Amino acid sequence: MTRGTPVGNRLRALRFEHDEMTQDALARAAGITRQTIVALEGGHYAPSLELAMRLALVFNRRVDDVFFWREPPAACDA
Amino acid sequence: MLRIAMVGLISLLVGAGLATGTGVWPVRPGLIGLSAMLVSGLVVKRHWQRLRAVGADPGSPERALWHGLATTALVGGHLFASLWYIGPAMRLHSPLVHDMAIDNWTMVLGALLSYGLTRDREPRRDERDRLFAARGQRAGYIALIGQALGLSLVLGYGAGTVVERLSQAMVSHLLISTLILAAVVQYAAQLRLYMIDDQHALTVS
Repeated sequence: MTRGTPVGNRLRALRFEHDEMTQDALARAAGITRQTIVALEGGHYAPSLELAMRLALVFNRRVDDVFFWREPPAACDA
Repeated sequence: MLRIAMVGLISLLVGAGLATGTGVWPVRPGLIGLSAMLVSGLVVKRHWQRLRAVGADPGSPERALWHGLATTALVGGHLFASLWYIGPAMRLHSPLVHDMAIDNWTMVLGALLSYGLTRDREPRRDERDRLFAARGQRAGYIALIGQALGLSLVLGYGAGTVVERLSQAMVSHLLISTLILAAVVQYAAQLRLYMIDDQHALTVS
């Protein structure tokens, strides 16, 4: 358990770009719960790679179009 | 966290209080417990329906956990207090033990019926719920091991005068009690994670 996930996302913006898709509609499309969408959008939860790929697929985007590092870990700086 | 502690503690105390009424109250305490579970189940269901309208309702696993915490603590509270009143020389086939068993199982029935009221009609769970479940189960496991160790020490090294007085039925009920307490710890730990998640971040590890 950590405070503040270093992985950000553009889920909220993408939902609005997609006909103001509701959180529940996105959750159903990705096969997860609305509460997890709330946690992701609030920056409270970092998804697994599989979930990140499923969410990206819903918007027909690449994973790194949807998810990004807020602060890359030191080991990745190089 | 306070809400979790309050729900668990109040349910335990209500259960323990109901155990005092066996053979004394005009109505079976088990039926009072069953009614209390049904009424509180209806109240909670309406509360969650109102929260759903504003998109703040708990998910399916969280609902099941709140229900599990309240009902398990209530049934457990009744069992613990009953064992205390009956005493170490408990004999299964006596009128008092029969009455308390009927009350206890009536409350188990109440727990099942109230689950039907509070459960999510469209249950969904995902990796976040599984992550919390795994961490909750770890807490429950630690609680169970701790109790098993404690009980082993008491049974193995406790004063002979006390341990010898424990009947076979009492020892088996003490073991059941450890399972109930471990379940309460697990539910509370899982609910705590959902509450923390509202404020802080969790990562899959």
